[in-house]
Order: sequence, then structure tokens, then C-alpha cells
Amino acid sequence: MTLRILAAATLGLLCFAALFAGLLTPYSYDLQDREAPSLAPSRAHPLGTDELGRDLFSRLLHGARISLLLAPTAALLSLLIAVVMGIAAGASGGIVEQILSSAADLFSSMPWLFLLLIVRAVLPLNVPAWTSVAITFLLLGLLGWPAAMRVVRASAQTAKREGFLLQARAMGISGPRLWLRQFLPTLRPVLLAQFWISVPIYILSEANLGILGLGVSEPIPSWGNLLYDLAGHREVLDAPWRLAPAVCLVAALLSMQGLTHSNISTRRPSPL
Amino acid sequence: MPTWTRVFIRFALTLLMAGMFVIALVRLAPGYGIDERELDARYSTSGIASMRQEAPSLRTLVQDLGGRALAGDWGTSEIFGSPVSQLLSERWRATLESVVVGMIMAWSSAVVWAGFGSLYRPLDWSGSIASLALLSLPSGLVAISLFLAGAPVSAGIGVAVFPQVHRYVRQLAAAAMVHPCVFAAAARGVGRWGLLYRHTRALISPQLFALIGTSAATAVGAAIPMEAICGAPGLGQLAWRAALGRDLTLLLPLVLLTTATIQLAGLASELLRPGESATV
Repeated sequence: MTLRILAAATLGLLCFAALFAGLLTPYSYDLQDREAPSLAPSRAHPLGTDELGRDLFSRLLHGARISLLLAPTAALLSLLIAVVMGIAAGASGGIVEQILSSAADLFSSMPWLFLLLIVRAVLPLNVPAWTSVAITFLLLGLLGWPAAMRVVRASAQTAKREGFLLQARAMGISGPRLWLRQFLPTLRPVLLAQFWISVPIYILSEANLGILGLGVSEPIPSWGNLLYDLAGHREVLDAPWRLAPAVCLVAALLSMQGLTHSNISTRRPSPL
Repeated sequence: MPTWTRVFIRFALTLLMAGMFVIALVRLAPGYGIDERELDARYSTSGIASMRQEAPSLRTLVQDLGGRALAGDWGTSEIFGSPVSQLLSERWRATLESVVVGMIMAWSSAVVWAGFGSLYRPLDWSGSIASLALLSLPSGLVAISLFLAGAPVSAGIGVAVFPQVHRYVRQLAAAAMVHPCVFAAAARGVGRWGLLYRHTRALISPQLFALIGTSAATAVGAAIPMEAICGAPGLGQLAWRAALGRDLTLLLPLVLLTTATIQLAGLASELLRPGESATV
């Protein structure tokens, strides 16, 4: 319980900082002060500045917006696809189910990062920054549906033989209305669990792309592209405050994992 | 139809679909057919539009790439200037070695830790916390830490795969420990180690084999940031450099090769899978 409270408080604090980033820092994330590049932390710049003189604290808070708010959007998109395809597969059966299941197998066996690299590689060189943000998270949403789809399909297959759907059919309810009105509400716990599993995965994927220099484009900050500077390896040892995005990222992910996998302390039955 | 034939057809169809999907993804992406000349102020809008129209259609692209792939000619890399097949053959061994060593490290430590965790509570706690912490680390950060520590790429791949396997084995072991046959064995006086080795192992082995394919996908995915950041000459680094250099001739076969590897790992796990609870 203490672990959950701590996790919720950390996540709440990070979300608050992300939402009110504009109020918490006087600088814009893209404001360049060419007179003050690569400054160490000071009262004016709590995390110093980067080589273009941009305030790193401001970039950290605005980067949280991208990472913490867009990952849930991508998770919702993948859940939407999973629900549509899972219900279609589970309800139809036969050839439709086989085709949709093969599509899920195909997407599962293709490494995400390779696909993301390909699409980022073919984006125009002068792509607007916000378009790169949208495309990155849209792709994450479009690639992440197979696991949730399998869960929804299995639930739909089981539900087909259950009393409440047979009763609804007997009352004359059929087609999409039967599945959307009668079946979908029963999926709520499953979908909620899938949602909370997906969000950290998408944040991690964006961070990995960012570290490789293929994530959200400059000047928009995200925790991922702020970590790109760390790939210069040795600078980290000289300027440890540059690790702040990594600390925030890990804290947010640990909090999400702590909330979703709170069964660590659950006492498990044992024959001994 | 014999099982082997079905397995082969499924494998071939998946590869074909993966190839078609990647080609379609590339062709329909907003930046396809656009190059550095678009940033050159000397070109007018109509000039840029005509450059874009020079890009081949999806059908032409599928016919061209598909035909060449079937003939065994993957083309020449634009950024390396070498034949793609040569680049792949030079580098796949390094990645395969890192992936296999990393998976062995992750599997052995995760299975042992989770297995003993089902008997000893402190081990269960520490294992769960370790896997939660590792799940929260981006592969890129792990790669930077490993680079600074001078550790090999395989260690990073192991770190990426460990939590996935540990969590799964932990759940399976917990479920197996409350199986009636385990309770019956405990009532007969079988000790902790006997329960773990003879009974729990037999109960969870079939399900464990199913995870090999999924963990192979994780390992191959983790190889990209590991090799790119650590500077290891493998397929991951090749993919990263190809992406930065917009070298699609190289990226397409790389995706097909990794998809085939993951498919083969999945097939191998199905073939090696023992029967359900044969010795319980």
C-alpha cells in the first residue's frame, strides 16, 4: 500500500509539473541565450543550459508533457484498434479470425524499433517538429495493438457461449449493438490493465528513439531527445545534472510499474 | 497437409507479408522520394514537385524489390557503397552471438532467481524489485551505462530480456506451487528442492518454451541501441546508421532478416516444447 501511495504521489507530481510547466519556469523551452551556453546549475537556471543557451529545467518540464501525455494517447489508439479487431475476430470466427490473427502474429514478429527507424528515416528532412511528434506516437499506437487484440479476441470467444449474450440475442439484439452495448462494458478491467501496461512501453520506445537521435525533432523537447546528449558518454561524468531527464524518466516508469504490478508484496500460498 | 509443410507455408507467408508491409510503409510515408535537393533554394516549387513524381509507384516498387530479392540480389547500400548481402553477412554473426549470449544470461539468471524465489520469500522480493527496476530502464540508458563500465553488448541484451522472463517464470512458478500434485508431493515429505526440481519444473517447462520467441524479439530490438551506442559492429548498428543515412536499400532486408530470425526462434520453441506435465 505504501509503495502504491509513493508511486501515485511521484506520478502525480510529475504530471503536475508537466501540466503547469509554463508557470513553474520563466523561460520558454526554445528560448536561446547565445551569451550563456553550457552553463552549470545556478539559481537562474536550476539545471544549467545546453550548448544553445536553452534552459534545461524548462526543457525538462516541457519534455514531460510530450512523454507523459502523448504516450497515453498512443495507448488509447492501440486499444481502439485492438478492440475493433479483437471483437471482429472473436465474434466472426472462421476465415476472418484466421486473417486477423495472422495479422497480429505478423506485427508481433516484426521488431518495433526497426519499423520505427524505417519510418523516421523516410520522413522529409524539413518535417515540422510537431509533425514528427504526431508521427512518432501515431506509429507507436498503430504498432502496439496485437497483444491487446489477442486478449479481446479470447474474451469475445468465451463470451459468445455465455448466458448474458445468449439472453441478449434471444431478446433480438444482434450485430454491432450486441457487442458494443452488451459485451464491451465487460471488457473494462481487461482494457484498463492493457492500457496501463502499454503506457510505460510507449514512453520507453520514445526514449529509445530519442537516445538514438530519431525521436521527436528539435526544438520540441521530450525526455527521449533530452537523453540524446547523454550518448556523448563522457560528458555525463563531468556534468551529472544532465542526468535529470533520465532520473525523471526512470521515476515515472517505476511509478507506473509500481501501480500496475503492485503484487510484489502479495503473500503467495505455498505447500511448505 | 503435413505439419512441416504447414509450418513452412506459414513462415514463408509471414515473411512475404512483412516484406509487403515494409515496402508499403516506406512508399506511403510522407517523405518518400524526397531528398536533400528539396532544401536547396535554387529549386522552384514545380521543380520539387517533379522530383517527387520521379519516385516509383507502390506497384513498381514491390515488383522491383520483390524480383531482385527472389533473385538473391539485395542491391547496394547507398551510405556504405557495398553490396547489402556482403554487409549483412559480415555483421550478422556479431549480433547473433550477442543476442544468444544475452538470452542465455537472462534466461539462466531469471529462471534460477524466480525458481528459488518461489521457495524463499526474500529472493522473491528482491527478484521482483530487480525486474521492476530493469523494466523501467530504456535500453539506450543501459547501453550508455554499459559503455562507461566497459561491459559487452550481450550484457545489455541480457538486462533487457531478464525482467520479461523473470516476471513470467515467477507467475508460472507461483501457479505451479499451488498445483494439487505439488501439495501431494509436499504431504509425502518431498523437500523444497525436490518440489522445485521434480514437480514445479515439469509443470512450467512447456509454457516456458512459448516465451523463447517473444524474448528473441525483445533481444533483437535491444540490440539496436546497444550496438549503436557501444559502437559494436552488428546489425543493430547497421540499422541505426542506415536510418540516419536514409538508406532504404539496406533497411528493408534488415527488417526481413530480423523478422525471419524471430519467426525461426518461435518455430524452434514450438518444436522443442515438451509435452504437458509428462513427468508430474
